Amino acid sequence: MENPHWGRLDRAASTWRLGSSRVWIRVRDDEWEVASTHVDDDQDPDAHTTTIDHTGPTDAPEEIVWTRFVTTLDDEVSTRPGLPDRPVVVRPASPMVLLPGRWGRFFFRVPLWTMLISNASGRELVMSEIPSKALKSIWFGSIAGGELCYAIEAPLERSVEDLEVDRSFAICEVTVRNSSRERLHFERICVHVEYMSLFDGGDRLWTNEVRVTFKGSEQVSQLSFLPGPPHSVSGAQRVAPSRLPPESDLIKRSFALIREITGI
Amino acid sequence: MGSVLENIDLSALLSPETLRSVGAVALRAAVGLVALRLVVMIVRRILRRRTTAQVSMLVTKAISYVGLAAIAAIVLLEFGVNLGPLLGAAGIVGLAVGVASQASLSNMISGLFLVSEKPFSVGDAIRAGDTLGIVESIDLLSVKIRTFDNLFVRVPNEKLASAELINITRYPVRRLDIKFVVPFETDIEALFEILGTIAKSDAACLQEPAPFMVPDTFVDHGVRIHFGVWFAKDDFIAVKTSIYSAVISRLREAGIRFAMPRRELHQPEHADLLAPGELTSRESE
Repeated sequence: MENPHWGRLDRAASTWRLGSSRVWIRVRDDEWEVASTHVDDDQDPDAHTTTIDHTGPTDAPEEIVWTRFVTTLDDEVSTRPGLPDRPVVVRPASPMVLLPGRWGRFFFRVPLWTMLISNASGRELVMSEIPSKALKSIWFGSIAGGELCYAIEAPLERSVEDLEVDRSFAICEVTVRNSSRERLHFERICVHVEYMSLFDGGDRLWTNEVRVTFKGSEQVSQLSFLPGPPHSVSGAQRVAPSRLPPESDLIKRSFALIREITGI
Repeated sequence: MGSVLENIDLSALLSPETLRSVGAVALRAAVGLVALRLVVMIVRRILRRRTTAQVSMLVTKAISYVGLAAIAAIVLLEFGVNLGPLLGAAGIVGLAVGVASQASLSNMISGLFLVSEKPFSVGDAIRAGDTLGIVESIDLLSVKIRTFDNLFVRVPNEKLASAELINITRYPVRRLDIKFVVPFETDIEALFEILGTIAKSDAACLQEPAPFMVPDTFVDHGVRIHFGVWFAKDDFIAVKTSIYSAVISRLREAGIRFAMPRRELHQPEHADLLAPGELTSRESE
């Protein structure tokens, strides 16, 4: 992995900063001790500084709780990026409208999680998962039949260049096609990131490309996860697998229609 | 009694043929019991993946009872017992037992309704009458509940089937409703802004569905506010603790106080001329 932020950790103590998460790691014999916290984005100007420092966890708050992982003396612990463990709901500042028969390409950022991986037994064991940003929960869909997701307050950009380069986020490209005879007027879009892998495209990390086909407000939308990142990202290498086995076509209700939200 | 014992031919009972046939019957019964246990295990394993715990328990118990009855019948037939009169007697005994145990039968039938209707499952938190707790097991006659203060409560199925029952954890999200009264002069819009901020900043509160805020009604001493926040069902204690403390502290910071029933006493000028108890009173904010 070319990215210096991910990979094998030395047995020396480390301090890890990704997004608003702060992680401290120290090693004692066959134990890896991990502590983490989140800083308030508004109060810390360096909230989104991504660094890894091997000078030692000297700045760990005294009251922080350390979790001790018992491994083996020759264990190798590494970090890799991961995606959230629940679907994410993107809430753009203003509602989007797609006219019948039209399609649009949208980009948004998904906060990454730091996955601490133990390789002691010859296979990857996830020791700890630390979100780079404290995400708020949101319920998507009807009260009885919806699902618990994370809310992402982020713009749905039309161009990836409009998204700030930040190693604590992955870029997700969603192509929405309105194949119905009605206007697609949505202000939420739910993306099942648990079916997605991560790809290193150089300066940014990418998820699988997603295609959503809207067939009408009375029908569920069809989601397709393409096997790799968007075609425009050349030479990207897969750096993290999906949490759940990828499904090429997934029928999920993807849009929260204005009608559903407002009752109009 | 003595004559009966005298008539028993012990030498015939202890003869090798008799012992051999008893041994053979015992062996068959043992094999039958082992086979029955095996069948129950396999059925339980199959049902574990495909149905709920209580259906699995009922089916396996039914198989066990039927199997045991069949093994007992085979053993009796092997010993040359005529089952006809026995079954007749069993029918009469069953009728007598049935009449004597109407409550048990009612509980069993109610148990079947509970299993088929599925108002709750093992592990759900329910409120049945005054009992609030986690369902530990749903058995033939009763439901076992562990209350939140760790008491074991056995509720007969019949009672549960006929009573109003609340399944607290049926749906994945719930709403916590708080009602409080603020004085009439309170700026309701500013209050709702504060409540909205509380819900938004609380990590355990769901951002959507949006928090519910409405002036509920006028009461004698102010306006009753209804504030509801949505949360994932597992976060009940966390949300209740954080929201209650946040409402108290944020309203105090904003100078908004809770209205409490208060009584003002007005003393007329010549109160000393009034008899005791003649002081006027009126309620106010």
